[in-house]
Amino acid sequence: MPAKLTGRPLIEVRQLKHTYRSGGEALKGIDLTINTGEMIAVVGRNGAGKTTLTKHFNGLLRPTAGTVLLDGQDTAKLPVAQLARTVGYVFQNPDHQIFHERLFDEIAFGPRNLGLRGDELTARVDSALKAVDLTEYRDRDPGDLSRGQRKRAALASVLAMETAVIILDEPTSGQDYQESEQIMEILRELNRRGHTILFITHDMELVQEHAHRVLLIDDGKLVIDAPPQELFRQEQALTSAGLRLPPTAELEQRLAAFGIHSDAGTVEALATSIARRSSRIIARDSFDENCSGGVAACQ
Amino acid sequence: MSVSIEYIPTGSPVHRLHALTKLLFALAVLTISMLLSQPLPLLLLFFSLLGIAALASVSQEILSAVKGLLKVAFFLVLLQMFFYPEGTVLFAPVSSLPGLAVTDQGILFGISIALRMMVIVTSFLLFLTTTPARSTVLSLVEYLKVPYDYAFLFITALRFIPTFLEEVRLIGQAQEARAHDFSGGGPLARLKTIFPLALPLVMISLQRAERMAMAMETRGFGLPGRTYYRTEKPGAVDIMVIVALLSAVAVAVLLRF
Amino acid sequence: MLSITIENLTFSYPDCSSPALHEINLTMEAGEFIVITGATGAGKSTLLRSINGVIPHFQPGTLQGNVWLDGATPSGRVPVARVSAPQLARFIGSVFDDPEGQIVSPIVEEEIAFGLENTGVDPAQMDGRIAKALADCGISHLRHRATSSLSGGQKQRVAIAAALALAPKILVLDEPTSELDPDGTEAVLNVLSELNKNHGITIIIAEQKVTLLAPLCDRLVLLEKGRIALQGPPRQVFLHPHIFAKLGVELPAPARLAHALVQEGVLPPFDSPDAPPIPLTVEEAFTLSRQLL
Ligand SMILES: Nc1ncnc2c1ncn2[C@@H]1O[C@H](COP(=O)(O)OP(=O)(O)OP(=O)(O)O)[C@@H](O)[C@H]1O
Ligand SMILES: Nc1ncnc2c1ncn2[C@@H]1O[C@H](COP(=O)(O)OP(=O)(O)OP(=O)(O)O)[C@@H](O)[C@H]1O
Ligand SMILES: [Mg+2]
Ligand SMILES: [Mg+2]
Repeated sequence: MPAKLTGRPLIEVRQLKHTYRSGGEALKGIDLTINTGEMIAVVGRNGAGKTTLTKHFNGLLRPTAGTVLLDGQDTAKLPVAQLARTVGYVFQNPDHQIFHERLFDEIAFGPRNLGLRGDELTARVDSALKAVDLTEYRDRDPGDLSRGQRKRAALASVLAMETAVIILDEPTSGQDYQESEQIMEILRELNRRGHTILFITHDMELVQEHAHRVLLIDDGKLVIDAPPQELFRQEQALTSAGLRLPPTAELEQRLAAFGIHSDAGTVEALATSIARRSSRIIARDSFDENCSGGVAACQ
Repeated sequence: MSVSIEYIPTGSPVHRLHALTKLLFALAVLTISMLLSQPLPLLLLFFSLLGIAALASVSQEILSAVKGLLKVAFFLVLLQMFFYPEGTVLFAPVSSLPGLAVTDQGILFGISIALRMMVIVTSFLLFLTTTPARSTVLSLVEYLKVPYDYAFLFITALRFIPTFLEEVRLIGQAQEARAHDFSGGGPLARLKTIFPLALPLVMISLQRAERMAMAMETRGFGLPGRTYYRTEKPGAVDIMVIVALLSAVAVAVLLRF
Repeated sequence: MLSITIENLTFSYPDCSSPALHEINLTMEAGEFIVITGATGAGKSTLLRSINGVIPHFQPGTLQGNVWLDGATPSGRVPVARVSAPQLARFIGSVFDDPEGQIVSPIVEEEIAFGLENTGVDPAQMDGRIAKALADCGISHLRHRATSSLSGGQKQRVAIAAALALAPKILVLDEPTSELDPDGTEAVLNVLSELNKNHGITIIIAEQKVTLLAPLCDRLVLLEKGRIALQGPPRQVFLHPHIFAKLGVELPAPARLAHALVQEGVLPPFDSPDAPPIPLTVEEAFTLSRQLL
């Protein structure tokens, strides 16, 4: 269960700047408000500053300038271990956290730190293992998993903590389609139960299907903050930030000029629309001469 | 304490010197500091190193290292102060133990030792922050005839310290992000809290060593007939600096004996 | 001309009851562009490791069967297991699935130079080759950066550039674009395609991004639990959507659209003689759809 939070914005980022000691300015002044219950995708080219931004939300990085407030409290002033009770974070590289010799213990590490013991702990871990499809590896050494499996193990270890906010740095990279979908389904389920989810991704298809809101970061700045459909309409901004329309959206846009629309955003819906259109054309010629406004006008 | 021993590319005149020159510089400073026994000249030497650090635009890193070194220095002074037998007794905390008396010469000696330590460490830090590892390897191989494999492995080991520190930071982050508290309790509890950092670190380091060997060999490391991308030759400035260094060492030797 | 023949290859990791690869037979001709795909844990990395010599030179386990390298020596074919890893580097360039563990130099340009130096490339050529490899991967601006200070995707690009610079006869890449942005993915895949078409370099790549690779590759190999479930040119492989569904691998959107159109009854089934070829790109799918309107 997510912790009860006040009516304040969940995360408030004000004029956030971050400069790495041995690099340039990675964040150049970001303003942003995140509310409880949102499902947000963070996108942008390599090196844009996505990881740097999200690591500020649980205090892993401290602002060089500006502030990040979590539920009204300055994250720079709280220890990470305490913030971790509210904000879970799954790292881009799974090998930075895996250290147990048994997968079960690896997943149990976080919940144990939260004080869980006994049956409750076992139940949490087992359901997390099941969620990421690793039940059969429960007693194996996580070091011996394939890379994609290790990534899912790292994911499970944070899921098991059931924190109010969950941040995931490229959770589906290196996953096959089915696993990606499954991971996103878990995140949506958590989101439905009130958890706030932020995920970094390069997969525009996932953004289209699963995010309610997208943050497009480029060169350390927040360039677009909008729902996915709106982002995909700004193709120019998208491509100039190193991104692409997902193939389905591209097909959809190109076919839109011919009166083809997919309400569900899937190729199957597109096909249905095409089929309707191609039979209607023949039908219209024979018995409906008044209708010329495409499918919608012919209802 | 954060000691940076990473190469910091600032493009200063010091950076442009040949690696061999800078290595000789560090060795010359080492020799001279051994020959000097009075605090004052050592202090002068130390400040001139800070001057060079400023010239090389690495003051920030050097100063933060110096801050850490001061603690060690203070400890050294204390140690020497109490166990140096000669000189005028200033005060004796335990009168029955004359060995523990603090003498004027003891203090001076302690300060000299501490300064010498700081001078030596600082000069090597200067060397490391202003010289790319690769240049060091090349000059070791080319001018000092160290076999390439050894030189490379030695420098790679050195270069992995910053990566290692970065790794320590990331692993620490990853565990803290799972609500692990590193600051807990008494000494025994402390020891236990360190496991989630130490274990993955050891594992990653072992794996890393294996994978490094793999990454190196699958790119042809160890084949005969190796070539070198950029070989640097000492320039006129290098020669001048080297001559100056050798003269300084000679003067120090003459003054001493 | 360098080809690879895999014969009855079975490999088990230590202490594992079931083998990660099971009786694999596969021939890869010189100049082919081959994509290996399959669910996580299907054995993609294991297969690539046995081609680039990581198995058995670095990875312990039990190996049966052979991976032959044909054309590397005048005396005919040799098993990869008999050629030392550095020798293999003269023919085969590798990108591993874990880019971070692959980087051995403190500075980006040195990382690219490392392999060139080892294989005895003339120093006069190095600057050009380094610049080209960095540009191909879109990271010319990172040339003098410390490798430890790069973002995840930037590190991955460095690892790819290091392999490209070596210009080997065969490139073996394990999910090289997993952390790349769409722009970078497209750029890298186009470079691979260019190397393959214009320089005859064999490309063997494990990837999930089948949609992007289908128009570029000659052959797709689908692995399922250590066995080859399906292989062939993309247009043929895409005729079997149910196998994709069963393996949990995504059938690319253009092909999916085509199958949906068959379902809707506006296209003839793909096994009938008058069926159009299955579209591989958005462009082809668009053209096909337009013809129906
Ligand atoms: N530890 C570090 N030291 C110095 N510079 C860094 C460090 N980590 C990241 N940077 C730099 O900061 C910028 C932003 O990096 P960040 O990791 O936030 O990018 P990202 O958007 O997550 O990229 P990717 O998609 O490749 O993971 C990059 O230019 C990167 O090179
Ligand atoms: N070092 C290892 N020790 C033991 N078992 C391993 C090791 N590496 C992989 N395995 C197992 O072998 C099988 C195949 O793994 P492999 O890494 O080849 O899969 P993959 O197809 O590359 O998966 P991914 O898409 O996740 O990278 C998996 O079941 C995995 O758990
Ligand atoms: Mg990142
Ligand atoms: Mg793999």
